[in-house]
Amino acid sequence: MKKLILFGPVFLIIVILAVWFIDGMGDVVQPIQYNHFVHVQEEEIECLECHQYAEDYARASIPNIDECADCHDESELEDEEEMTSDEDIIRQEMKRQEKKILFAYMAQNKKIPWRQVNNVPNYAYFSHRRHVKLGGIECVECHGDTGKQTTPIVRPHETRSMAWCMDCHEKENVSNDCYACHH
Amino acid sequence: MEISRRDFLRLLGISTAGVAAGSVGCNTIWSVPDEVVEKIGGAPRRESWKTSVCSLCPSGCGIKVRLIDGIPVRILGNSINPVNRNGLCPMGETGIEALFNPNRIKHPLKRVGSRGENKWEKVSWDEAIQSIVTRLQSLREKSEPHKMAFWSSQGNNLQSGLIEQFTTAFGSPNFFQFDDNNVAKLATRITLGHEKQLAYNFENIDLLINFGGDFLDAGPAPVRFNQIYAEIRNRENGQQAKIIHIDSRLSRTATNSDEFIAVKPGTMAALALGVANVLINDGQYDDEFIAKNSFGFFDWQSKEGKSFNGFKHFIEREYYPEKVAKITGVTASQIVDLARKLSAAKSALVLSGGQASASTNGLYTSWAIECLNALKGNFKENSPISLAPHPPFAEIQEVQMDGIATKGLARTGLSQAAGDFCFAEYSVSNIPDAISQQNPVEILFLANANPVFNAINQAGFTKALSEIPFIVSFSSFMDESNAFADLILPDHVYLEKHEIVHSIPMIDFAHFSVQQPVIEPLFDTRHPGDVIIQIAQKIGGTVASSLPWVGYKEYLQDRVKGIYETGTGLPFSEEGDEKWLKYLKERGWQIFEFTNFKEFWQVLLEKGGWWDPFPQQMDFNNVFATPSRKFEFFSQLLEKEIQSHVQTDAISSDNIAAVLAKLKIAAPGDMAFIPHYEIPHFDDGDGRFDLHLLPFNLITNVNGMGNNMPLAQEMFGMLTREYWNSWLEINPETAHEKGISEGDFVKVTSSRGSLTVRAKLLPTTMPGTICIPFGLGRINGATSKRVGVNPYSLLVEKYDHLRGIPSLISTKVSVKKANGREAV
Amino acid sequence: MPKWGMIIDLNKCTGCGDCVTACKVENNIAVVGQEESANGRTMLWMDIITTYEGEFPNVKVRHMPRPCFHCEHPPCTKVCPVGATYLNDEGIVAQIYPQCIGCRYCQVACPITVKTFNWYTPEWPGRMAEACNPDVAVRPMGVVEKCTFCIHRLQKAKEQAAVEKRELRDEDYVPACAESCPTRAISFGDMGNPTSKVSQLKRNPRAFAVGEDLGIEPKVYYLSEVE
Repeated sequence: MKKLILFGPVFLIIVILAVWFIDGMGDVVQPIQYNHFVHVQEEEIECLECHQYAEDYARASIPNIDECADCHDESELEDEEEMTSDEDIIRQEMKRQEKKILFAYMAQNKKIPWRQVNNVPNYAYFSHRRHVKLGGIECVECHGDTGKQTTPIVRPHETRSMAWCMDCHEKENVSNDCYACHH
Repeated sequence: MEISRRDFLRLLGISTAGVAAGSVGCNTIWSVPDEVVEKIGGAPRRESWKTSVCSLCPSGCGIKVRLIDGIPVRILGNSINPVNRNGLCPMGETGIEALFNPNRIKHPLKRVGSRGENKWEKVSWDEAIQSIVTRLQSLREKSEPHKMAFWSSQGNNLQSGLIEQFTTAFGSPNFFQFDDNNVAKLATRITLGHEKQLAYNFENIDLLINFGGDFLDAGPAPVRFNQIYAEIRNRENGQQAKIIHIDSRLSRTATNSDEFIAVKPGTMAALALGVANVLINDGQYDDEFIAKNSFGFFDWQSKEGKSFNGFKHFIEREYYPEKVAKITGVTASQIVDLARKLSAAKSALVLSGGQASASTNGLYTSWAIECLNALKGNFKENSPISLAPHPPFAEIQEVQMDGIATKGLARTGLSQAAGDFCFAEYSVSNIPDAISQQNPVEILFLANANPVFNAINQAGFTKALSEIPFIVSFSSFMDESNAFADLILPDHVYLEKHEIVHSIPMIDFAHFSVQQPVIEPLFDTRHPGDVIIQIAQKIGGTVASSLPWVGYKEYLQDRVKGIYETGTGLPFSEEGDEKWLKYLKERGWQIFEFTNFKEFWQVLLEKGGWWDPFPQQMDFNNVFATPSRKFEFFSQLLEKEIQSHVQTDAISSDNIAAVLAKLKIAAPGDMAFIPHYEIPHFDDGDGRFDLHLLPFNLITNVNGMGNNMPLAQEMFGMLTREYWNSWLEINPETAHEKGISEGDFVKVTSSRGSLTVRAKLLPTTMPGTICIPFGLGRINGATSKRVGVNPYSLLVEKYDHLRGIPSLISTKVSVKKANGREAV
Repeated sequence: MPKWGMIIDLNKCTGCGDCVTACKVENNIAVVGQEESANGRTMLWMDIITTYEGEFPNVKVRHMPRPCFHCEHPPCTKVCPVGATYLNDEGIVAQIYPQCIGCRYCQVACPITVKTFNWYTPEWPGRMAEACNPDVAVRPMGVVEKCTFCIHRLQKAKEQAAVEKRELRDEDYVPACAESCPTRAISFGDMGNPTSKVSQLKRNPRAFAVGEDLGIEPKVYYLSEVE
């Protein structure tokens, strides 16, 4: 009995810690604090402008320095913006810091090592073309309203379990034969 | 202390690798290498295709490479390349493994250890090239340019032209190619009087007699021959054709033929002449051709009034079926039957290869077999035989030579120095001795030549290489010969470079295929062509002005401009298109339309090459360059060569018997100049060895050229279920006599050495012979080191008595079940 | 629904082995190495069975390429306790790797021994993994694998046909072995369609199947050699 009293709190702490760790297990750290909100909502860029292969290929692709360079170049750092509040100043400074990281990659002609979070295991064939072009599914249906997110993507919007796939396939009357997707 | 979740997990001993590289939680149990997962994620998976040429062996099959996001993942045959029409061989499939192979040489290396120790140090390209240039310049300053030698393999590409330009301008007569084609070059010199090769058309033949050519497994174009054999066997009613194979081993070529005739090793000449005997007796030969276009068939008189017996006389006297049956082991009725089939055929073709030319009587044998084609009248228009056409490349600009070069070139080359053979130009027999004794080489360049592994005199080459003060090698991988190098200047692998492969032997239309890089070079490697041009530029003077190109690609384009300017042929086109194009061309349409060379070159890269599907009719009256300008049954050329040997050897010219004895020719007098059966010489260790060793090649690893690809090793003996291993084929009957059962380790001993290998009891092996495949048994090179055995290590130094070509079937061995320790 | 099937013309097959190697490369089949090969663990989805008949010199050697027969009554699917292998609507015997528990029952049940087991995690030396075919799953240790008729090609072909708004054509979907055969001995197509090339070849008097007496109804037919 005495022992139990002693170990009780220790056990509880372990459980709490474990929950905390397991919960955050999937989160990845992105190299740049990318802000979808600024790009999608403020600059009104369409998803397909950057994720340009979503309609025609299996992978939508994550844009890298080449695509970034279409809009960004180092002269931006000199641009003075009107800043009214402290909050603005902090926000601008954070933006500048992130841009500096981007320009460092561009200067070295090195790929940004984005961590891919929306990943399908290699034993399943997932094709964006099949879903976007043929199925006519909107990006938000699977990826959520990413455009409103101000922090980088560190975990997928959906769990992407097989059951999740199959539920939708059933609803849409698409084949659920294993060999429709597995290979 | 800050501790992240990830660190914490790592402390707990839970690997996060799967989580990090893969997706979230999904495939943590999926233990796939991280690189694969990363690859499978990422990029859009855009598929693209690039055409090129496979250069793993010299057959020059066109390929198209599938790239996913710019990374080559698969090699397929190029369906519009007429050389291989969509087909590829197992070795060709594994090419990507060569590209990404971790054992590739990644940057120039300088030897630091002793020779063969394999200790190397990285050097820069500039430093490496400078050290070569300094040495070459000092050779020229000493006026000794002949002390530079260049050995390469494979003559079917344009690189050999560039190397020859370089060695000639430099002043060295020592450019030598270890090329399988050397064998055929000398055979046509006797029959046609020049070294141009014959080409064959199988379209309309109804009989193919193949003397020993293992065309389905070994060179010169195995994929093409697999297709030809399948096509011949599947002709529809009315056009059926038969294939008769003659050999001492049931090779895959033999088993794919309709009929197989077994001959004793080295006796094919007798069989061919026995067939000729029956044809002559039956009067079944092409009278018109024999009368008009042959020399020495009937009895004849020389200008001096000396009378000679003709071929007919000798054959009638010497090669009657009963006698031939005794020599060859083929029954007299089989010989008659074979001859009758040949005479009954409307259009028959007789081919020789493999074992036919691999005996000490090889040249006489090929010549005797060629006589059957002559009797059949195949050397004329509209016959299945023609002269192999060449693409009309622009000639290389004339080489400029200064005094040093002219003097150097006048020296005797290493191989010509061989005194024991009539035709010694392509003989490797004398090279090691020449290096050690009279003709020292100071600088040797090796371009994919590996004589220490696949020359019959391995030991000689090993010694010679260790005596040469400075060796430069251009290989992508470590091998037995470049272990002796002082400097390795790594080449790209074939998927990373430009090349032009042309004129694959036996093909009857002019063609070349363009090899282009399908991916940027992965490592700090350079094209040997570029390096040679750079070295020439640095040497300066006439050497530099003879090689004026900016780089190898410009050299190739310069050569191809010749074709653009003549406007013949066309880039590869879909199968069947050529008939349509021919139709248009006959009606005067312009087929070849390009506005500029750049456009032509682009189309070549896209289609994979060029060909001329409209061959010129061959005027056979101009084909023969023999002294009589005819097909010679009595070779005046051979007579001349032997006579000239008389003079150089200070034996009086009337004592021809002494010369023949020295050349190890047994035939008396004039018979030596007529195709005949020379008794083959075998090394049987003074009676100690009783079994013939017949080594052979496999399509999965021809001559060990697939040695750097793990998959090519795994597929090595897929038909006999020997993966990653050599085996010994032995007839069950012979095995029983020797007390050997299936799977036993067997010790094989020859005069040269011994090896231990597992036995396979196969009825495809002739009793009294054993067969071991070439290709494995590497002693250097990481992928297949110590895998299997190398039959070259057993072969005794025997050469074709006339041309000094290695005789691969002249070794006899003994076999004995190995005891436990030998097996390990 | 199509019924995919294959016809192998033994009179055209020369036994060159390109189909075997093409299959290995296309499907990322692991190279097991010298030691494991010696233990009989070489992994082949397509194999060539060589038989010898007679004595020298009158020997008949036959080469018979052997993919999975994709039987209509497959013995292997009936013994699978987890449904990892089953016959799908298009007549392909599927092998679903993540579902497989590695019990190897199916491997034993298959009368033509087409199934191989992954004894180890596949390994690629150096950067060779980069050259893997991204269309095909890399199998982990502990699962059974076999010929899929290059199912990944069907998935892509169907998608391509849908994008082009047309029906699937015969030539859209060809497995790697049939595609690369130098002598074009292997034909592939829809056996359910009586006008397809394979259906026509199946009616050839030379056509036969192996294991018909077992009642497995294979969908791989052979055309015997012309004697």
